Amino acid sequence: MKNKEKNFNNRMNNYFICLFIIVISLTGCFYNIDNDLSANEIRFLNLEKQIKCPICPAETIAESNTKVSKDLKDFIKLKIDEGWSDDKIKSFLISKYGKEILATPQKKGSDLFLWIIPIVVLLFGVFIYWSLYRTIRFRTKGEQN
Amino acid sequence: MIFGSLGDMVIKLSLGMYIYSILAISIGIRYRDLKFIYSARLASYFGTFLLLLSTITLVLGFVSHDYSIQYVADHSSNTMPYIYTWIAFYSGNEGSLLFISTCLSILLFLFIQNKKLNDNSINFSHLFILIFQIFLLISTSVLANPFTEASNIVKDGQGINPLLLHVGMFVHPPVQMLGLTAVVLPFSIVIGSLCAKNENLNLNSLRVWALVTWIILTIGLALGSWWAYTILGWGGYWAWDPVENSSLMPWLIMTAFIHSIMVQQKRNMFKGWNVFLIIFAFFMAQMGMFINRGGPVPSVHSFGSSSLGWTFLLFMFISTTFSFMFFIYRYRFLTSVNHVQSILSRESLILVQNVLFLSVAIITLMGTIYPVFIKSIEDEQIYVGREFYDLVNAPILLLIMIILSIAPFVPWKNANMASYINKKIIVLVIAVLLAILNSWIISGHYWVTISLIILYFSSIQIFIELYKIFKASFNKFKNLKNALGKFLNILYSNLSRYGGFISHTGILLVMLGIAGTSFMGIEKDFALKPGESGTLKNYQFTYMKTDITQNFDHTNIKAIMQIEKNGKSLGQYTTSKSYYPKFDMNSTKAGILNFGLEDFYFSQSVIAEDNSAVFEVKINPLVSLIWTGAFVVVVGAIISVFPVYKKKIN
Repeated sequence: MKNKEKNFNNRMNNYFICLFIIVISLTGCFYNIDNDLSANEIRFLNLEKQIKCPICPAETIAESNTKVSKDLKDFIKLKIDEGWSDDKIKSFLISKYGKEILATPQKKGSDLFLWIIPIVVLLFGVFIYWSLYRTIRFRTKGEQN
Repeated sequence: MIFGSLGDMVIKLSLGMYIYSILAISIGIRYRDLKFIYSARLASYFGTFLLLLSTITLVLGFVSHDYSIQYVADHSSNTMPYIYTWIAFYSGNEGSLLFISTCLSILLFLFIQNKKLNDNSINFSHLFILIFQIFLLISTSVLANPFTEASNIVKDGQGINPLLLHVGMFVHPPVQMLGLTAVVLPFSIVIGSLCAKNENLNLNSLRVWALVTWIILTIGLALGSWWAYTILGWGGYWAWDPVENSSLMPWLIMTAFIHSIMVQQKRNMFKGWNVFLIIFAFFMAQMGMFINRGGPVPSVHSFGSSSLGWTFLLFMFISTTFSFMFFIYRYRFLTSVNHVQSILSRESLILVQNVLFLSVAIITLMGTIYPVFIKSIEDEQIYVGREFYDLVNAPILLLIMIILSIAPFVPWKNANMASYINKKIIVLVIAVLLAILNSWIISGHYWVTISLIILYFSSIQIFIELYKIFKASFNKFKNLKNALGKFLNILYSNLSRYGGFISHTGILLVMLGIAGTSFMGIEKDFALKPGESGTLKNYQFTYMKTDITQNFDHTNIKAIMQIEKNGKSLGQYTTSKSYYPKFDMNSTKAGILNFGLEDFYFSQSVIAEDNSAVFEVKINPLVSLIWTGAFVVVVGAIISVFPVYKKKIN
């Protein structure tokens, strides 16, 4: 009995050493990419992917090559340099073009519904797994009895 | 003139053939008369022949510029090279419908040939494929006939959609359409077996057809993303566009399905679940056809919008409702004696994977149709873009990949968590160390490191398994040549498992490629005048000049760039943009330089009067892994289809 316990402790120690190594090594991989972009440029690159080109079928201004997109890009660059926040730029554009201008709905108001869908689906998935796991088990036990 | 009326006649004749076939097979099944079943099969063979004939007729119509056929006048022109006839053939609704039904007739031919006449589940499957085929042919001959006569005969046709003039378009759309259509085969096999009360679901046949369908869908997806990467000029291979989603969803469900039928094969479980999955996959495939065929969602790829989509929607609702009702009616045949005994067992992990795949598919479907709901409620057009899908789907897909690196190496039925950790922790440590070393060399991002860990964790386990087999065979023979023979023999006897290993490694490479481009990619816009140059990381590029050429149907603007890497000149490369006034359409061709794993990518956007231009320049690391990986996936899947054929021959 004591021997078993000792074994178990040894094994646990090994696990912890291994886990320790993994955690330590993982902290080393937060590399910085040297892409010499300023904070504002990165903000712009993120933002241009969230704004749709108003006249294209389904492209963002980052993807589209139209004149309107170029003007919108220039506008966003200007406003970022003026110190507007992302939200302020977005709400300005929404007031001008309507919600249609956003590539993806925001996480507020009635559009929150879209963002709740995945959570519901995943919960339902957990339920499916659990119910299949259980009913199959349960039924078999009943048959065996 | 002759081709139009001939083709029309042949299509209607083939419709008649298939209707006869369905009647004969119903009588044959009802009265157990093999003569009728034989006759039905012959009629189906002949239907295949007739459809091929009408395909040839339409091709001849294109080749001889027979503009008395409306479809030919709309989709080709005198100056179109003959090689584009292949694309013109399916570039519109009518032609693509004819293409789909011809493909389905060939698949049906392959499916029923050499099958026993008295196998009722095959006969029922035949019946269900015929129902779909007749639906397609009625749509073709009544709603969208490619052989409709033109009201006035023009001298020269409209020409072909310029976006389609690309090497990828020779293969991607037909493969995609073929894949979506082929889903009807596994679906019919399952429902047919249910009708014949064959609780085994005709597993051998089902496995082969499910895998074949899956392979076709995979090739379609890979080619589509390659096309989007090179021609659309976005620098992106995937945009979560509605049409792209519609081809991804059936693929996701089919992926779940080919894994879960394995559980049925080995453990005789999950029968009901399998039936549910395949009905859902068929639903998704039809949804895909509906969205492609002028569904209500705006997309960059929507080319053939028409009211035909709604016919597909109607058929989709009817077929899904009936098959679900039938599934519930026959549910008690599908109960199984075995059960999931441990959470870590392979069947349990496959179930988790199935549920996750299903979740991704449903979330994607919801995101795709959400704008339609909002439009009908609030009368406001909104879009659901990649921000949503990336945020929601990426973690789930990552979880699936983690399961992928665990599941193939845990036993069926019972698995002990403690002993599993005990065995694998050292492998995991080695994988982490290797990944970090590797990541350090390429200065990889956090998520690239994670992908590398999963890749190494899976590959090391594969190597260990192969090594064990080899060692066992070497110990037996003590002779390298014989041992190698034995080793290959063992591999050959279980091709499905080792093919699966190859596919899994491939999909992990794809994941690495996606992580690399999404997290380590660099992009920047450069506004340059001729002679000016810009620098991005270790690349330096000089914008030389712009060439404008006026072709008969389009204007081509070609920007020439001199590119240097690390101070070494690489020569001149071009990116071009063509404008087609007849279609009011632009087509961009990006300049892509491939350096092994890394791509240097540039495309022009606006060119002003003084020839100054804005260039979108990107460095896409690891991007070529996406297509290499997809190729490996397909190779592995093809390998794992084989053994069933081998068994059949013996």
